[in-house]
Amino acid sequence: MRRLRMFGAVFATAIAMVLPSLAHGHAMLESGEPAVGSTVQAAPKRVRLHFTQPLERAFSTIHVEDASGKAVDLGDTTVDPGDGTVLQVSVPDLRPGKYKVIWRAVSVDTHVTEGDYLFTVGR
Amino acid sequence: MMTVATVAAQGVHVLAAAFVAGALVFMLLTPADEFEARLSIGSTLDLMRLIVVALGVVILSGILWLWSVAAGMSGYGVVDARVLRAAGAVLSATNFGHLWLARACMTVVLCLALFRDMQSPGGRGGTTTVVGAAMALALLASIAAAGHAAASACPKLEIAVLAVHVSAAGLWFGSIAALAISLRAEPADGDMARFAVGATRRIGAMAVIMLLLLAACGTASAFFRLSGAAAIFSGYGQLLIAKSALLFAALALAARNRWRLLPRLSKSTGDAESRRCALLSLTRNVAGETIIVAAILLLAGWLAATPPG
Repeated sequence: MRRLRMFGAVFATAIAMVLPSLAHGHAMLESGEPAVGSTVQAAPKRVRLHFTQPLERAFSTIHVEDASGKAVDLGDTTVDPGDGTVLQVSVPDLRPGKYKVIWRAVSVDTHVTEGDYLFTVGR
Repeated sequence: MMTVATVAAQGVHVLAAAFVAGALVFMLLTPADEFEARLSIGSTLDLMRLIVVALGVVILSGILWLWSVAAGMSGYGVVDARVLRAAGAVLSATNFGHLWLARACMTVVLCLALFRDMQSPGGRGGTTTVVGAAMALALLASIAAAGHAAASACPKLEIAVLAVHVSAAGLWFGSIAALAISLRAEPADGDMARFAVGATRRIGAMAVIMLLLLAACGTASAFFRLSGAAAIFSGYGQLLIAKSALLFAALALAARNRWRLLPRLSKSTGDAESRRCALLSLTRNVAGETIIVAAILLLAGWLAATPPG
């Protein structure tokens, strides 16, 4: 029993020594405006994506495509100056239909994550 | 997920920087008379030459690290010529790039200090060795700001804790690597045995402080990152347990040095054959400990580049 306790103490110490290696996840998409898979009645002026970590402005991008795959965003992807975890891009007046948001986020820890989702502008 | 090139470049960079810092601290901890009496000018310069080679590796791996990160951030392949322009953007507009430039400045100061040291008799220049060791330590510690801690909710605190953690582990590795190299100096006479006992005791005492710092940083990190503890039971956690197992092995070898081989060496100063055997055992044991701690550092680099779960 005493040996078991000692082993437990040594093991806990060893785990504590290596714990700083526990990495946080990469910059993951937390939410989107318009929301993932949603249908909005009013066409948005821009697409805003909220991530779990601060992003690098120079390498993070959002592209918005219509149902035919044609790019419709204005190509002005920026990180929100007031919130480093928000990536946004302006879009023109979107007609009713399905749109695909394709994003690529580079976190300040240099890690890259990518993804896409659909939203619909209602009639 | 980081590329293999990034993980490899980062791993080699950490190991080389740790060796430079640890070896310079080892030189500082060795009293001047022992340098003159035991570490002849030739062997001291051998250690210094290895430090210079390691610094070359630091510079080369640092450049490769920047290149691979620029390739990853831009989405180009590592052999794509456009990475050169992307590297410029990384340097001018990203957290990693700004840190890389600051570390490049530290490297320049370290090179100048080592250059002065090389010109000093015995390869040890007092103030310049202190400056070199301080720069090497800063170079090692600043690696902490390049990883996940920079993107955490409380980056300053996490970077500080990780910097101490990386420095402690790096100094442990670098100093025992320098000790292993020094123990190979000839001839294996009574002076060498006394030097070996003194140097191993000094490095052992420093290693205890480093281990306490490692434990303190681990506990602090667990305190403000409780959610991370669950990762121990994931696939990622298996890597962590492997790292813990290696740590146990390194601690076992360190304990063998301290409580078995050193007393044996202390008692054997009169008998040439038993002294030679004791020195050989100690040298092998320290070399084994060095290899295991190097593996721990490489595994730490792999873990830092991998998301949990």
